[in-house]
Amino acid sequence: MQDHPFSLTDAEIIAAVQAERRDALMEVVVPAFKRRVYGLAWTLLRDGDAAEEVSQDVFIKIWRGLPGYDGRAAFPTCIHAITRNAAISALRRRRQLLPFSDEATLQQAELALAMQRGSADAGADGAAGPGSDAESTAIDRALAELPEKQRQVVTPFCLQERSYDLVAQMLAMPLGTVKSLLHRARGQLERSLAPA
Amino acid sequence: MNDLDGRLAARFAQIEPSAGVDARLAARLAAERQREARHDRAAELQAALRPRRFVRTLTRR
Repeated sequence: MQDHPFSLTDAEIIAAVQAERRDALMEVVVPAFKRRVYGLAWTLLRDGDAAEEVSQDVFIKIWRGLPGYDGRAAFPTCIHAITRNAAISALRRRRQLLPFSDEATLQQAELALAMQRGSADAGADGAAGPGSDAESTAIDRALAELPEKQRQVVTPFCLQERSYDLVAQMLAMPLGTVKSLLHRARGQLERSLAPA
Repeated sequence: MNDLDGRLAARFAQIEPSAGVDARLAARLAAERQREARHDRAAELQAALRPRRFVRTLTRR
């Protein structure tokens, strides 16, 4: 049994798929993972609508891919990897539409866009990446200012995934790299969020 | 849990999909099931027709 809040073991998932209970399985998988999938997508995209679209694509991909699931990688690891890849693809598609050629300019433009959206969301009752208070805005800004790899590492921890090993598997990164990126991310977040 | 962890956890607890997301996903999954069922039926039909085509090809010679 993996150390995660999802209550089914990988063997049970495989058994359910083999018994052609894929749809019933989704009734368990979606509630168990929707917040984490959406949260990860939102952190990478910083856009509620795009995060929801990516989340839906992720669950459709999972549903399609379940018959081929062989348990070689832990189920939450697969879900995280699918989500990250889908969000990064969405990010790339979005960037192709923007007339910016260098990473720094792109990140600045995205940050500005995220801040603009944050203000707009304050009055909307749509998807919440949101949060209208100063604390949420400050945290969003601090997260948005992190380099993308640091943000990818810090997000699972923010989403209550506390195992370094599992996060390393999810991100297909060496354990040492995960620890180092997390350390740097925490340092930068602490500086950004320190009282002025 | 230190202050930074607490602040991040509180922030991430607010990040959740909008109401109605389950219904939208259910609709997409239903469409996907239908698409897959059509695909399976088409594959079965093709498999069933294949021997006839073979015989037809032989008898044409």
